[in-house]
Amino acid sequence: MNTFTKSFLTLTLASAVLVGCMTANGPATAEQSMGQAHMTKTRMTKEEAAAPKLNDLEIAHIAYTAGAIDIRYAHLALALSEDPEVLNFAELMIRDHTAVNNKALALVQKLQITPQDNAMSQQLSQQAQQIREELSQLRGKELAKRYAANELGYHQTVNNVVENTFIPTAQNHELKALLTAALQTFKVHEGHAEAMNKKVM
Amino acid sequence: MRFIVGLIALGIFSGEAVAQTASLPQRHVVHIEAFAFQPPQIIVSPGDTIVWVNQDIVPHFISIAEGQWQSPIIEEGQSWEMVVDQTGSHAYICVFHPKMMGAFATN
Repeated sequence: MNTFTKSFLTLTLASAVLVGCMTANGPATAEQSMGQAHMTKTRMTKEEAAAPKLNDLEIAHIAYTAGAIDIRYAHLALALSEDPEVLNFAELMIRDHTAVNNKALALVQKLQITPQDNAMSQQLSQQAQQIREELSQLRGKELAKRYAANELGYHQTVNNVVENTFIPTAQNHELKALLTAALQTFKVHEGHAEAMNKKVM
Repeated sequence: MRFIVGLIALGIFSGEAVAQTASLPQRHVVHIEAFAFQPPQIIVSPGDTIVWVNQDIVPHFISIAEGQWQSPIIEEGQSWEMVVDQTGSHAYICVFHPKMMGAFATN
């Protein structure tokens, strides 16, 4: 499991708690977030039960941010890689995540809402910046392997969050439906990422 | 005039009667839903039309018989149709999502 996946996974487990902290005490810093992430699973479960849930505006913001991040990874891969598996996958990510994010934007406009920036979106963006910097230093086989590994871990983690946190938590039925359709897409991507990892080894 | 009205009443000119005529081309709808073709396999006759309707939120792109026929990119809510002009069995996939597979065969 790579650093990003570990961080996002633990961040995800802590997300309900973090949002609770933000609500009660103002926005948590990244350092506080990561500190929370080291709590044990038992402890998390107890606190999750008591913590306020993510609201729909925050869920929409995180989901859109996650899609935009993967599109940026894909553009980087298209620019730097010559591996056909990587190029095919990157094109798929741009095409599908753009379609999903366009649906999200259309829903936002229809509902006349503004997605709400939050600690988890910010953390995602910071982690993604680090990953892009790492990827940009690699070439050839090393780049293909790192990109493939990151895509698999990223989709596994995001899918887990969407399925087990976002969909059960979302209140608006149209947002819930979009997340459900998006999850179907992202699970297909996870399968593609698994295949890509085997091929670039 | 009474003769025509009588024929319609008997169903001879009705859509139902036309649909039962075996030699007329049929339209077969294949839904693209949840990253699958439904139904995944169909039996058609030469001259029939197959219509693929994309009900997913992402685009799909059908390649039949290893590229012998290809659809344009089918966006969400759009459809593509093809008249079957050859006999035999033909497998197809979505080029973007190759695990999506379907087939049609002529009777």
